[in-house]
Amino acid sequence: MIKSLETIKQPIREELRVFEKMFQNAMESPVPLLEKINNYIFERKGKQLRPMFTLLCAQLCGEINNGTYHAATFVELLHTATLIHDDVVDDANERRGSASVNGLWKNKVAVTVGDYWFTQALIISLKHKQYQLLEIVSHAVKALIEGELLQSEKARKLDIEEDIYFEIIRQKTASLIAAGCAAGAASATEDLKLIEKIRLFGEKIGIAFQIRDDLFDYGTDDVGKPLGIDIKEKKMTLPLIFALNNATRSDKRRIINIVKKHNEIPEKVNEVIEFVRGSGGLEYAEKAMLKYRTDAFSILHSFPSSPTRESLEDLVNFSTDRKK
Amino acid sequence: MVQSSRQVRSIKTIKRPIEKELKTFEQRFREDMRSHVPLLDKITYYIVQRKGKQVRPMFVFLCAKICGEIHDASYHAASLVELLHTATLVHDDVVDDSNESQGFFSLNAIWKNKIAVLVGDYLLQKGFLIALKNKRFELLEIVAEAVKEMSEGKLLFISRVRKFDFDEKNYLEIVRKKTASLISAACSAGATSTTEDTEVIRKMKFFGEKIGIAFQIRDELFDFVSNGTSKPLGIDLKEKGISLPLVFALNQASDSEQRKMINHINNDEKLKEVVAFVKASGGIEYAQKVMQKYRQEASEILQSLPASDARKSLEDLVDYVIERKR
Repeated sequence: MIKSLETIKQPIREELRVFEKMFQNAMESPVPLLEKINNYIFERKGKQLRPMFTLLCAQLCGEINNGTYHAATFVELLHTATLIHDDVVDDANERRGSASVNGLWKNKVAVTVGDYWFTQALIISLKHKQYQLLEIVSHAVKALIEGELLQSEKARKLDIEEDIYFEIIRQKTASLIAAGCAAGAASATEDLKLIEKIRLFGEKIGIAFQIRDDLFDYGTDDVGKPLGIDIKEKKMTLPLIFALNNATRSDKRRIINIVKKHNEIPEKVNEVIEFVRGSGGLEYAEKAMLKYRTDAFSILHSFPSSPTRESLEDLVNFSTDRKK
Repeated sequence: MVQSSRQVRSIKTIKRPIEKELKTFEQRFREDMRSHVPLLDKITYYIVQRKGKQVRPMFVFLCAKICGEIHDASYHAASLVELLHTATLVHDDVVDDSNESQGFFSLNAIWKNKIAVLVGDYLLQKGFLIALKNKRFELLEIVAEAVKEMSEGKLLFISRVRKFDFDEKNYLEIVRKKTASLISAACSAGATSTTEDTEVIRKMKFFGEKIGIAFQIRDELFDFVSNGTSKPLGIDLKEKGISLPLVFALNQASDSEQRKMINHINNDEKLKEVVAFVKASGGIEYAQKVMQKYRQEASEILQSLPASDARKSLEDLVDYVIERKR
């Protein structure tokens, strides 16, 4: 049912190549250490779903042009910068199976490299007078950081409710995906209503995407070991929130106590995972995820059928059905 | 906090031509910092509390005033510079894992690394947004370019420290990027806010650069010359890396002496020997000479501009940077 990324990329195959070139150019630097780190990042880049969303959304609204490439590059650069900083924030030594930047070069370097990316992305857009793009994306980045801060605050107090959870993921994940989609659309059309529609589409996808991510944490890793990374980092996600809301008072106290004080002990983390699994929290989150995905689809279906629309649908399925 | 001596005018006097503007700016800045995220509000409160002398906004307003009438764009320039400066300070806290910064508890000690990365990022974006919202694209580019150079400078610095590189040209390049670029941006952004004369803007940019470099060398000299504070000499050597007096001394030394001194830098008990070595080889006089050269160049740029209260204040600010006691 899920198509391969190669098939999904079909309508934008050439365009992705142009993007790739621009992205690589943006990463060039005369500072040797930076050049080394940039190459390291570039060789380990992810699936680059974000540029695909940007390019496809532009194509859906009109024609891909120079502004579209700038949008895709800008968003991917910012995304890269936030990942580098995220790994410092979470004290994570690994990213996608390799050592993270802070894992290899330490915090000091990682924070600086992230700052370099933020400003480099901004300068490129300013030099090309991409003001609308800057407007759309900058607000998303601010929301992203506010979302991360809100999450950190909640990780201290553990007093999170469902509405706050959705607010956090809307800000920290969905905002940048939404901005990437909107910026793609804005590069190809001047119709503000259309741009807003696409932004909303991106937001729904972003939320669905994050719920999927949070669900993974209750699955098992390659060798069948439970993950529970969020619990270790005291991140309360939808499955756990649901479980707590439907628990007896003593269960609730016991589970929160584990997350607060015993979140480093694997057996205790497993206890939380088992508790969530037993409470129907996973099914509940899955249902919520599907609702957002359906909303996204219905936005897409207001557009006439085309290979581009089909690829976007497939991309939505790919990013919400993915196993990893 | 500000020590004035007879020949050097106090910061308070220097501020006089822009007193009103600085006051308005302070209010605006506080409003800019406000956030609806409670955690952020708490943290920015600490930051505003521990604000130092606000040297950068002074440069912005004085350079703006030299070139024309201070207006809205000048305030945006000052906010932008100050927000980005604060952002990098907060990020430096993460980096150095220091427990003290500007004499107040650092963010780090209170809220830990994680929050400091995010708050720094937040302030960075906040600065960008203020500029974008007001369509100050030119100012934004000037200041963003400076932040990029600072990042490059920091990375070059780290590589240089790891390699024990004491080439003087590399030293100056790093100082220019790491320390001088933001002061330089403050000056050219200030000028840009009030004039379209690119020649004058260029002058102010170089003025800022020169004074920024002189400032850094002055800072480094404090490690070698007793200034009456209880801080032991040489204590900052390790953190600051190979400063100009040391660069000069190492370049005069034999291979074996070089190796010995480089090892000593990482050994707290041997720091006194490093200080003595630098003094004996004339490193201090050399650094003072270089500093005076930059001061001279900065003054010459000022002299090429028409006389005014603002220019006088900038001249005094140059003196202050060189003569300050800490």
